[in-house]
Amino acid sequence: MKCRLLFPALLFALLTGIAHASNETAENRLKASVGDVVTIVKGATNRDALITAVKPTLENILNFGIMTRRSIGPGWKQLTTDQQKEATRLFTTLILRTYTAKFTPGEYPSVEYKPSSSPAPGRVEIPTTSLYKGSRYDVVYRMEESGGWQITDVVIEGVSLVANYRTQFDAEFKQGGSEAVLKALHHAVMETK
Amino acid sequence: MHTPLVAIARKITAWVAILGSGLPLLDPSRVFASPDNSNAPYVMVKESTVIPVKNVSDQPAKHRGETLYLNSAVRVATSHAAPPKPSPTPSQDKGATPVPKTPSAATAVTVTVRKKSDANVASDPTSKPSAPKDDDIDDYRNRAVIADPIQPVNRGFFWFNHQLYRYILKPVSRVYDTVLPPLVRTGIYNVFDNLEYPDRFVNDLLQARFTRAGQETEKFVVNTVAGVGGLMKISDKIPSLSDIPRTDTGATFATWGFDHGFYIVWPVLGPKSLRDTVGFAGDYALSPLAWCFFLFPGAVWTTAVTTPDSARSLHGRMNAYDAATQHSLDPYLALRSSYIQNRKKAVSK
Repeated sequence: MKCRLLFPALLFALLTGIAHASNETAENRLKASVGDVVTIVKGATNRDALITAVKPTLENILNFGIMTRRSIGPGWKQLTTDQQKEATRLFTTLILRTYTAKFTPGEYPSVEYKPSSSPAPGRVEIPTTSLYKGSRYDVVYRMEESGGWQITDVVIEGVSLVANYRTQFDAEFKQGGSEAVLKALHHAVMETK
Repeated sequence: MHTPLVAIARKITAWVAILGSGLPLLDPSRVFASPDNSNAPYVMVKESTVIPVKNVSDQPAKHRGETLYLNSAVRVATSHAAPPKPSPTPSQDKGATPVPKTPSAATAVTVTVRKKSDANVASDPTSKPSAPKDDDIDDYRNRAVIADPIQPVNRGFFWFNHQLYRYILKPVSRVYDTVLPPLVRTGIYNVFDNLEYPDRFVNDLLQARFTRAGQETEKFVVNTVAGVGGLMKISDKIPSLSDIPRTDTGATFATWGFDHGFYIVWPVLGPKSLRDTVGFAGDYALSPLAWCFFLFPGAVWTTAVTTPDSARSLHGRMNAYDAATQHSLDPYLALRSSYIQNRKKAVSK
C-alpha cells in the first residue's frame, strides 16, 4: 500500500522538480539578457550606437522564427519556403525596430521579477514589473525551449506583441493571401526606416 | 440583484449581435467578427443566422463577394449547387477539401459548413467542424477580439484623430515634456492621480471589493497628508499600497456581466467599446475636476485647474498611441487589438 502511494508521490516530486529547474533556467537566461541590455543602454552615448550594440543580444534571446510563424498563423502554411524566409527576415527587422525604439541612451528600466509559471511543458511565463521613465508597466515574458530558452512573446500591460500582429496579418491574408502579407510587411519595413 | 443585471447584459449582447449582422454594407469583414465577443470567428448560414467556425484560415472561399477562410477540416457548399468533387492541389494541406466556385454576389446563397467525414451526409447547419489539430502555429486563435460593425466610420475617425495627434496634440505633448523637468511632471501626475480617488473608491465598492476600497482610502489619506496634497506618492513605499490594481466604471460594468458591445473610435477621445463609452461618462461624473465645472460654471480658475490634468493625460495617451501604432502593418487594427487586450487585462485584475 505504502509503495503504491510512494511511486506517484516520487513521480510528482520529480516532475515538479524538473518544472522548477526549467523555470529557473529560463529565468536566469532572461535576467542575464535584460542585464546585458541595461549595461549597454547605460554606457551608450547616442541612439545609433545603442541600437547597433543591443542588436546581437536581442537576436540571441528572441526567437524570431516562432514569433513570425505564430503572428502569421495558419496562413503560414500557404507561404512557399522562400516566402517564409522573406517573411521571417522582414518581421525580424520590424520586431528589432519595435524594441530598439523604446530605448533611450542613459535611461534604463528597473525590473522586478515575480514568480514564474509553466503553462505547458517546455513553456515558461515570467511576469515582471518595469519602472521606466517614472511609469510602472506589467511585462510578461513568454519563453520556450527550442535548443535553449528563448522569448517567443512579450506581453506589455496585457497587450501581446504576437497577438497584435496576428490580428493585422489575418486581415491581410483575408484580403489578398500570402502576397498581401509580404507586401504589407515590405511596406511596414520601408515606412519605419 | 446580480441576475437581472446579467439578463440585461445578455439582452444587450444579443442586440449587438443582431446589429452587427445587419450591417453587411458597412463592414466587409463582418462575418469574421465575433458578435458575442466569444473569440470565435463566425460564418453566415442561411443568410440570417451565424454559427461559429473553430478555425479560420486554410481555405479561401468567396461568399457574396467576401473571402472566407475555413479550416481544411470543413467544406463549403451552396444549396443550389452540387457539392464539389475533391481535387486537392499540391498547395493544399493533406486532407483538405476544395472550395466551391465563388457564388455570384447577387445570388441568395446558403452556406453550409460540415465535417469532411460527413461529406455524404445531408448538410446540417448546426453541425460543427472538427476540433483543430493541436498545432502551436494557431496558438493565438483565441486572442481578445471585439465586434467592429461600423469599421468604415471608425476608420474615418481614426484618420481624423491620427492627423490631430500628429499635427497638434503631439507637438503640445512634446512642449510639455521639454518645458517641465521630470520632477515637476511626476508631481503633476501624482496630484491628479490622487484626485481620481473617488472614481476608484466608488467602483471598488460597486464591484464588492471592499478590501481594495479600504486600501484606496488609506492610500489617498497617506498621499494627501504625508505627500503634501498628493505631490509625492508616499504610498509607493508601503508594500500593501504600492500596487493596488486600478479600476474604473467600465470594469465595474464588466464585473456585473456586461459585454463590450462593439468598437467605437470617438473623435479626439479615441478608441472605446460601447460599454467603456458609458463607463467613461461614469468616470467623468466621479471626477472631482468635473464637479468644479458643475459647481462653478464659467469660472476661469476651473480651466486653470484642469489644464495640467489634460496635459498629463495627453502625454500618457500619446505614448500609448505611439507604442500601439508604430511599426504596424495597419495602425487601425494594431490600435484596436491593443485596446481590447489592454481592457481585458484591466478588467481581470
